[in-house]
Amino acid sequence: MFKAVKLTRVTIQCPEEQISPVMSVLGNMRLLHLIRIEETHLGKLGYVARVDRELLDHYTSLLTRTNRLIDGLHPTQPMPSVTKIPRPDKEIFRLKEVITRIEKEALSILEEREKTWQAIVQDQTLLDRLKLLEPAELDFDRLGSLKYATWMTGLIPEENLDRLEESLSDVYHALIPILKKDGKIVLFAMSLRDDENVLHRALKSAFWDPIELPDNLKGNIFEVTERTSRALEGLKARLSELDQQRKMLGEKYGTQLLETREIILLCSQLLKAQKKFGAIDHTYIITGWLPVDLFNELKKRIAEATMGKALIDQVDPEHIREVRSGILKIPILFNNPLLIRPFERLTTLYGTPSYKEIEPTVFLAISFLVLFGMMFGDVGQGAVLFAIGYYVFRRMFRFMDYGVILMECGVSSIIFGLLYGSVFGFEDLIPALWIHPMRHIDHFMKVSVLLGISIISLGFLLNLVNLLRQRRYGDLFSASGLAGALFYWLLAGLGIRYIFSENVSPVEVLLAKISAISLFMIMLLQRPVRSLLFHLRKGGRQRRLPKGIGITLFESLIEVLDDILRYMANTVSFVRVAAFGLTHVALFMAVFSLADMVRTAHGRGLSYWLVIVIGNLVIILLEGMVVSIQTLRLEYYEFFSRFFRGGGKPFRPLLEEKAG
Amino acid sequence: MLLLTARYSFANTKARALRGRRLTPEDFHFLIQARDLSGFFAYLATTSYQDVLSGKDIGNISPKSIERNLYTPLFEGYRKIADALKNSRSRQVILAMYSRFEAENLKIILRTIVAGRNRSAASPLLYPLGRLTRLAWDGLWNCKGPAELAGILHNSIFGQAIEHALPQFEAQGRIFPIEVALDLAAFRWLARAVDRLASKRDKNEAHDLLGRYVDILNCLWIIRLKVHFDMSPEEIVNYSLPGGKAIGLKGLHLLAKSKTVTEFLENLPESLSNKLARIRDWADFRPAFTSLLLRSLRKAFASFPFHVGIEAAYLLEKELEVQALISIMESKRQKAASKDIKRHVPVELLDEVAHV
Repeated sequence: MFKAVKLTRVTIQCPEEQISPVMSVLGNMRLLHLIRIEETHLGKLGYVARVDRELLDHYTSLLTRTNRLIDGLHPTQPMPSVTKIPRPDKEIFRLKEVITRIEKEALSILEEREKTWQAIVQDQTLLDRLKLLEPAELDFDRLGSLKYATWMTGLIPEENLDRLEESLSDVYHALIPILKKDGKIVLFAMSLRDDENVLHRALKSAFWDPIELPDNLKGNIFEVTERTSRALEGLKARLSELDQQRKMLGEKYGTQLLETREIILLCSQLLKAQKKFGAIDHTYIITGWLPVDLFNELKKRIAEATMGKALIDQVDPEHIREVRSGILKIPILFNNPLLIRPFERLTTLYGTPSYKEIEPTVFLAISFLVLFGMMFGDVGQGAVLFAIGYYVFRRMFRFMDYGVILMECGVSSIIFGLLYGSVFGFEDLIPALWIHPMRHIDHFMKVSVLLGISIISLGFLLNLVNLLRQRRYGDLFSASGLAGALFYWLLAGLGIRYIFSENVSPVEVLLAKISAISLFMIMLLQRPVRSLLFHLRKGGRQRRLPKGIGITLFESLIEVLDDILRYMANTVSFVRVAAFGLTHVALFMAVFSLADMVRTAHGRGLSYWLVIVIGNLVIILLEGMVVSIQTLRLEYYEFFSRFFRGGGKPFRPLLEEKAG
Repeated sequence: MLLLTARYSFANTKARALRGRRLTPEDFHFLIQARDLSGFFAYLATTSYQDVLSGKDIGNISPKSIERNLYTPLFEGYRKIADALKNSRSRQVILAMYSRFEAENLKIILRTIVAGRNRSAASPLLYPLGRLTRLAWDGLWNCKGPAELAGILHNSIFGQAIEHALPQFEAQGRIFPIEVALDLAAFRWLARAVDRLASKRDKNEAHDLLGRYVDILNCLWIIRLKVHFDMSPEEIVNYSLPGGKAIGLKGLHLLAKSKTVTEFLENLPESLSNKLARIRDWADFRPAFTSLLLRSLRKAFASFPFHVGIEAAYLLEKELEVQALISIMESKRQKAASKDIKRHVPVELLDEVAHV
């Protein structure tokens, strides 16, 4: 929980014919972060495996066929989760058979449905067109029998009619406006057959939008409309039958289709992952990071799948030269309990911890909730936050993590609400288990500063652990190391003693002075001394002092003073916890003052409660947002900056992103 | 009269002040006489166009891009005039005139989209419209086709015009119908804006000036569509611009049907044919019409001053000046002789050369 999952670097060597079962095992294990062979010395020598294009193409074409069936049958079943990933080269045969079988049953229905749908669209379009022409009462039999005249129907922009008339003034013609629609005129145009080209050209240049009618229309426009409507009804009935059959097929094959698609996507992804593999002649090499605990399991499964033909070994990251020299970074796999996990988002927003660093999510989560609750303590509002969080958690899958954080903030707010005795700002409904912040401002402020000292101290401790784990022993003497921590605790202790007893004895002050000066000197001189030692070790005995030692000393002085000032500022910064807690109460007071004014004017009716409700909503939105930002600021700036360096690389498990 | 004076005094002063920066006949003389293209630019840099050229490496800019840059002062003029016209109706006339260039840019975008070319290749061809335009140009570049473009332009004068031209675009498989529709939309707006002017005198003056301009454009379009595109009279009539003064639909139809230059001249209204009687070739119409237009624009400055026609006249005159500059620049690029270049420049821009 406090550190990332311990990883080991795994290398698998297997013959070409065994790559598929190996991939299947890796797919099933999932928790392998592949290292691109291209980035290793083997890759640089050109030993990079090729993706099995032919097999991948089979999967791509199968995916198209599956998607066509899924689009056609609209399965409504929930998305099945695939737990076991088969061998891609073997699985393709089974998948093809499954899809062919479903196609046999479904394609004829889907194709007929498509044709019926097109016929409906066609008839509907014809009906719409006929409706536009209805006022002209056209008789298609008579129009069809015309020998010397030609006719057409269509729309032109209203403003073009005059020009169209003029353009046809040299030929016999008739332009009969039928109706106006959306700035256009529905027009029946007629001319002698000999002038058909002139009519065409004129209409074309007047932005003619033809209403095309089939050649075989018989009877008058009303009869045609009647016939088409009847045909349309028949088609709709057939479509309904086909939809029923389609639904049944969807129910029958839906789960199977969705599962098939999942497997296809996973297999395709596995095949694409081959480009990260290495290959020498007919031997494949796969390398990546795996949680140490899973190594034996992986070894066993691969041995079973390949009948012992694959070689697998592991190397401790400590023994890898590239890791030691910092060229190769070990990815970070978080390992937090369910309720803490959503806070990983906030940690990674600041940075990804490096492998040798403390993983700070759990500290962040706890301190975040405490700080938030202190600033936003109210039972009622906490319950509202919880409800909103629950809604987000259940309904908005993408923001599920934020939903959980909101719920937890809600709980923290409720707990502090109980401590403050506040329910939607009413402080007389339940007794305060601790204090009413507004009535004990001094005490509340002291507690905030104490909380700040605790959080900063925790930051110091975590930094010490990091220094020891990373073997940066020299930094222990720096202002951010043990010397700085002791200095801070000395001053903090003195401050606390003064705040609570208001009486510090001269002996205590003297001891503090001596210790502080000693620690200050250590912090000040550690860099120049280290520089001197380095100089001597490098054989610089001919010169007593290394070049630039004066500058180093001066820089060290500035650095130490800066760090000490920042400790003070960081501690004082926590007064904001009390300030925002009090602001929360003050906002309630403002809301209640407004509500009282309303009550004086209109009595304790609907308006009074409306003010209370709206006031509470405004506080939740406004204060909730401000408090969240302030909490995050305290976390990042006062807490994380003490120990968190980041610069790590997140763990990307195989098959994390499926092909779309 | 008093109202018109109050309405136009500021804009008029602005227009006249801007007009004071126009190129003189002396400038045109030296530009034509320049030894080569670099000499042309060297002289141009001493004129009111110096801001357009300053800081630019002319040798590395495409000719089309330089041409478009020369329009910058014109669009700056449009902005200043539009800002000076507080009266919304007269401002609409100026904005309608300006919309002709928006239509031109839309055509370029359409051509680029339909041809599947990329934006960077077409960008230098765009007119530098400046801040006056209200169209969402960036969004237009992301369109997949004319239908989407029409959707984005739905609230502008161009949206419906493109929508109406879409069936013919699909039927003919070329963007010509949409291009014509865009031009027609701009000129229809111009005609409407003139009709909506509040004062009768304002309306008459504007109609007189802009109507004349549209007549001349229609004549030039007829010649172009007829001679270069070999279009039939019935098509030409439908593509003619609205808002003309002396030539109605019948007149345009007659002109479109004219088979020879003589017949065309006979079918022109007397007010025009008298001044063009010497023309014997289709190619001579453009400079002659441009001269006619320039003369009428100049006349506007000498007559009753308080109407939107003054602002329109300044902007049209400036536009013709830029066109003349481009014509000289192109001739210089082709190393044409000075006396040949002179033939392409309206004589009105060259007279009064008293210094040589």
